[in-house]
Amino acid sequence: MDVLQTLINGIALGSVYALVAVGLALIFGVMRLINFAHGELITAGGYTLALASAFPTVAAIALAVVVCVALAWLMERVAFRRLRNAAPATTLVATFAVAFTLQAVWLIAFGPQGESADVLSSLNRTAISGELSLRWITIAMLVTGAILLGGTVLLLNRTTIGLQMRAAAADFRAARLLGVKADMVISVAFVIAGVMAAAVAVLLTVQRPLVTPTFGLEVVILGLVGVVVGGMDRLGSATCGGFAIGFAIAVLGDVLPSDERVFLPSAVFLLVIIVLVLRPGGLFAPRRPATVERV
Amino acid sequence: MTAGRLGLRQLAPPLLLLVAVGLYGDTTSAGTRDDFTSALIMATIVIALYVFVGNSGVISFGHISFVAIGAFAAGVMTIPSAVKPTVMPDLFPFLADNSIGSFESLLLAAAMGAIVAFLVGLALMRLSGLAAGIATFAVLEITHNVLRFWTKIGPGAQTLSLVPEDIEPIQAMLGALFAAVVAFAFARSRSGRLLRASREDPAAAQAAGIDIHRKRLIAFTISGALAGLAGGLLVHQIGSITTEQVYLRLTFITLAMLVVGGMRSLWGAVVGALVVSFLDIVLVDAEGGLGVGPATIDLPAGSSLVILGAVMAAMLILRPSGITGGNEATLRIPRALLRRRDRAESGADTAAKAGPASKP
Amino acid sequence: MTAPEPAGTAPILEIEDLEVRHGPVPAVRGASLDVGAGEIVGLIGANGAGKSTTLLTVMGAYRPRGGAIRFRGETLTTRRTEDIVRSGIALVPEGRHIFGHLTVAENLRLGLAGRRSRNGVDDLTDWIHELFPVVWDFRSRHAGALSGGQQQQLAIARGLLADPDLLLLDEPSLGLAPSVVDSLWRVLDEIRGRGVTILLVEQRAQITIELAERTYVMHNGEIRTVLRPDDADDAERIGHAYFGA
Repeated sequence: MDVLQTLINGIALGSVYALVAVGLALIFGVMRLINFAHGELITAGGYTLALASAFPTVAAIALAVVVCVALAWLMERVAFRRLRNAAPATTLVATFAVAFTLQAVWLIAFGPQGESADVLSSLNRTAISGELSLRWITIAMLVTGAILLGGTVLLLNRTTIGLQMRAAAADFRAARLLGVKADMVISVAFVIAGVMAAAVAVLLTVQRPLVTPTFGLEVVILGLVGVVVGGMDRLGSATCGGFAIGFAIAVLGDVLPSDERVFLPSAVFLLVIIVLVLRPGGLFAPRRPATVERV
Repeated sequence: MTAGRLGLRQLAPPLLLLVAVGLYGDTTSAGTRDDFTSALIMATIVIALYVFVGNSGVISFGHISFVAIGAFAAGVMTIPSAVKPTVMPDLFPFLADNSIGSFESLLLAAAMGAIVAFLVGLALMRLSGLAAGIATFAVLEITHNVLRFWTKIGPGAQTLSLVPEDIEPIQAMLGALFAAVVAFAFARSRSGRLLRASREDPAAAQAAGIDIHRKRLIAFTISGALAGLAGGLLVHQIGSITTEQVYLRLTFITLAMLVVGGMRSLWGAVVGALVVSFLDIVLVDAEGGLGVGPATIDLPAGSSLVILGAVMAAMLILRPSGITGGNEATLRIPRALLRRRDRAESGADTAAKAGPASKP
Repeated sequence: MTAPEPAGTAPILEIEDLEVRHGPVPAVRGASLDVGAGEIVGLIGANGAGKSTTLLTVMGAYRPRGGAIRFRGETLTTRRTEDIVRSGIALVPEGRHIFGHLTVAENLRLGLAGRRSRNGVDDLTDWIHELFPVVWDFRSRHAGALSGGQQQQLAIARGLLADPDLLLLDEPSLGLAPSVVDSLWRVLDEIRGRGVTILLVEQRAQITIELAERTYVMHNGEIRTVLRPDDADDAERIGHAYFGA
């Protein structure tokens, strides 16, 4: 039962990180931009929930979605539009700068001690007890993850805009030459990223209600690592990578003896280095004849 | 004009700038002195970063690890032996029982930086682009995690204090000058030039027989040594160090300094570090009310970070090649000062010279 | 040098003294050509002569340094690619640029993105399936699994779905067997018969000169010669123009 418990926790956290991965990978796909500032969307969502604690739950969540989407759209319009043709590593540093700036803004606006986002704390209660203990939040993570991921897959595969996004991700110029509107496709990617960020903020604040300026940063660092380890080039492999890192963190957290648990980050990152050295294109990327180094 | 002469004329501007900052800083009083020392140490870190990133074109998020290692190594080994058991009871015996002087600790810091960089580099030099960025970031995380919790080699989560404070503007300047000379020498060496050649087109370079991985490893190791040295300078300036001081924020600031200055040249590294440092100082002062002529600028607390971040982001977005465009500055010597035969030479090749910038 | 105006028809596309650079390197230097409505016009030249660059500049992928491009009298050079497509020009790019991971049907659907209106889609789709049966037969397969010739057909079909008035083709015969090229040429004729104007960029000089009303020859970014179908057998003249007289 312990094993099953750990597995379920792993899948739940994996689902959350998969949502983070989708947000990162969609934008990378259409813009070749690695959005380090994605974490700030999550933080913004967290702060919105904190400020809207008094509102009815549904309203608070809706507000968080609106804020995240608006901020994402703003980021694209004001800062990222010009980065479209820059090298990936340059965009990483630039988005890092945007993230850093936003963190400083949170610091001024809300102070370092953090705000409490008490929106869905009732989900912390146990749903099923007995040998297998399942909290509502774990179920919520699984269900939300499934719905949003499923929704994204449907959007990409069954709608025209989704088709255009997939085409743009494969070959942006060819897509434009067919009449695909570049701005539209990119805006949609950011909107979806905003929605994902809001969902992640809602899910994570249940177990960690204190929202600090670096709330989202920690998540996006791991998410980014997961995406690169999984394989940044394709949405599928990137999402798997995000899932894998969430899964690994949850499982290792359960499995490692508690005094060794402090070294959990080292274990995870060592694993990351090993994977990257052996498979720089990503764990789940289709094997290709090694020609030039990727990206 | 011989190549050697041109080289010196490109080395001179960064050196002169560093000397100017160091000498001026030495004349100022306590608080400002510290700012100048910090700026020069930042310059050292950014120069270290440039040695690898500028020449190889591969971004490294892990260099602050080497600064951290240098700082902690130098710090732990210079705390008086008598005090160590109290502050760090779990320390390995050979660390607890020995102490060295400050200067030796700088050498130790550089050596540690070099060794760790070499070992890490053996694994990572095959990577480039995004994979390298993430892998080096992982190194940063591991170093931070280990230093924070392994109390056998250091203070762990606590502040390491009681380190002798003997780095002032002049010493920091000397450190930065040393780093600049090493960086310049490497850039003009065969290894450096071959590495830069491979930067544009790794496949072509490999086809031409250049062992990219080996060249990168050399750059990485040298860069680790310089970063370690900077860490040693840092801990001896502040007199203490914590793991948070050599982690994400410093990583971001130094990388941004390099990119803002222009990551492909030594001049860019020095200019970026100094300009951003002084901008930061001015902004922090403005938070406390800064008099500019008749007016007073009074920024809300913490907004210096916002402005700094915004300026850096704007620079990265609008002018990614940086203030210097990645070019070295060449010192123009007035004709009257040249010896006669040099005058004839320089007259002949003035037309062929790329646009130089004289020292500020 | 400007081409003699085709008698009676206003040019649907006018390129005048076009200058395009890739960084410091000039790719097109002062080239001029006209395409009249309902014509097939050829543009031939050796590798690197600047032909693809010309087409891509018409589509807005590059900003010209100088000169003008007018489509039905309206200047194109300041507009975005997706708007240019919507005004009635489609490009079948060199190398086809099929989305290999998408199915044939999905590739086709992408062609709809460039349409000005949804009217007539069914009609057009029927015609396209007639022209290119393979596109219907393979509709669920991944486009990457098609042969070169089949991909070329898909690319043209996709371009046609945008219902363009002007179709630009960049080296459609590249890598195709002669028999396949023959049937492709017949299709081009049919397309022209339906009222679509064609600007055909090719390396295969002879068959292009035979097909087109007139064929411009580009050398080193300049257009100096215009050839007619009668010149198709004049190997010497073609050779001179190709390699720069």
